[in-house]
Amino acid sequence: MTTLTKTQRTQRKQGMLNNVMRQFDHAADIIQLNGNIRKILEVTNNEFVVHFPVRMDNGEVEIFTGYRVQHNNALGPYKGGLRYHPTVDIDAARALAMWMTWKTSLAGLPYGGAKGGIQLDPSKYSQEELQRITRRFTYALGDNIGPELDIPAPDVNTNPQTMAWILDTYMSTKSPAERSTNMHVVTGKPIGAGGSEGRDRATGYGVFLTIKFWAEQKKIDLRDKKFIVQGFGNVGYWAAHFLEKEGATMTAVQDAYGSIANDEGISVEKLLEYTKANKGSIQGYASAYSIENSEFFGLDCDICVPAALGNQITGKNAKKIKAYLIAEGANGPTDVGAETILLKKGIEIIPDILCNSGGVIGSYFEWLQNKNGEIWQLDEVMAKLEKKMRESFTRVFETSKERNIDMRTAAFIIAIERLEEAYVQRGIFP
Amino acid sequence: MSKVEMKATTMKNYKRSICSSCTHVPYCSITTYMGNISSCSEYRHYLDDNRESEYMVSEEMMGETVTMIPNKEGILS
Repeated sequence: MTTLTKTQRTQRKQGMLNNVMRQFDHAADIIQLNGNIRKILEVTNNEFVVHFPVRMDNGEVEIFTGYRVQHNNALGPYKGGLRYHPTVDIDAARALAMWMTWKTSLAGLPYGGAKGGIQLDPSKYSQEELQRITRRFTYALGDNIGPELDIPAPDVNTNPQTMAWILDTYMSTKSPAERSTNMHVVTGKPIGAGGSEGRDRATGYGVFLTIKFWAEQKKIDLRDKKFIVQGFGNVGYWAAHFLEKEGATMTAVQDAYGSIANDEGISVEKLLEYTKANKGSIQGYASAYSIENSEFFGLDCDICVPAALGNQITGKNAKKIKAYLIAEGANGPTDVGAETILLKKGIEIIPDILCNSGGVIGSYFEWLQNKNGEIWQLDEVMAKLEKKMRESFTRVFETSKERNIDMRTAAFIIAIERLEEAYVQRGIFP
Repeated sequence: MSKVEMKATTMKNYKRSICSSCTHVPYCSITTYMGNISSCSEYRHYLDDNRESEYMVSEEMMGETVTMIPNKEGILS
């Protein structure tokens, strides 16, 4: 058995936070960020830890611990997900809240960053218990969340149903006249309960759009270009769907079950149909052959879309990559060592903070519709998403060119400069 | 002890990772470094295996228009 020292435990706990801070520091150094503003952005504004009792199905009462970390609201209400998982704690919430601040800032949204959740394993509770836990947590947070203050969204093990419970509970604490004005206290709601059309595909569509905009800038036609996708979940599927629609060819896919390839092309829609009938797995799809998982990133292609999880492209496999563009659909799929190798090789990376920001923009549209009492059609949502993503992409691309820096650093610089501008213009109270 | 059982036992150590409650762990082809995962598009909670396959969204990218696997985690919101 391995015993970790206190220092090792602390380092491991703070790994995620360190990673977020490293990216922040790098960009802050380049722009010589005002020291006082740096101090503000390095810490979280508010951290709530709530302990609350919930009656279980067997009549016993259990005490739960919930967290909500609000990192920064210089640009608008705090925004970020709520997750239900044993790993939820204050350190994880801090790192993820900070990440949300940069993400919403880069996307040009009127939001800050937050994150939270409840430390629990949902498999141990019935749906009825989860509902009571969610409602009691919402009550415990009270007016520390709100449509103009802090707007939670789904995350790991939370879903539109969870958001509907939060909405209902939050509204119930308001006077009858106020209730319908609070629909935008959460996003990611079921469409029938105030959710927005197009949120399911917003992230994947955003990934596709950034690839399209990049290709436009480079005067590359996406038709017949080969792409590979890691992760055939919501993001991977929709990104592949739109790339295929544009004329590109998917030649390999990797999911949790394995990796498949076919240089002649794999139909995105047919593969989706197959996975639906095959417990979600791509394995065994007849029009492709299985490959070793370790071969995946080294396959011959033009575009690589890692849309599953972090640290997939590493110093070990970066040298094998043949794609000339990596579009980071997942969070942090390229590690620091790999990035150095890729950039040296001239491979460009559309960074996660830009590439997968379609989701939070989709959330913003849901919030706006609720706030203004509007219901937008799918085509309207998609058109607005394209406009917003184009603005973000263009800013990052131009900054990268002007300053002769990579797109990730450019993205962080834009995000931080927007926050800096807000503080410089508003000043510090009192 | 079978490979699957071994991996399942190892999972108990993934206290810092959402892999600690993911059903794909015994055979996951995407990663073997499961110690510190905070976000994954393939994430599938074992609770989901006992439910009908309904569309389930996650994070900032959720909606409900197509049928997909429940509780697929997407992008950090």
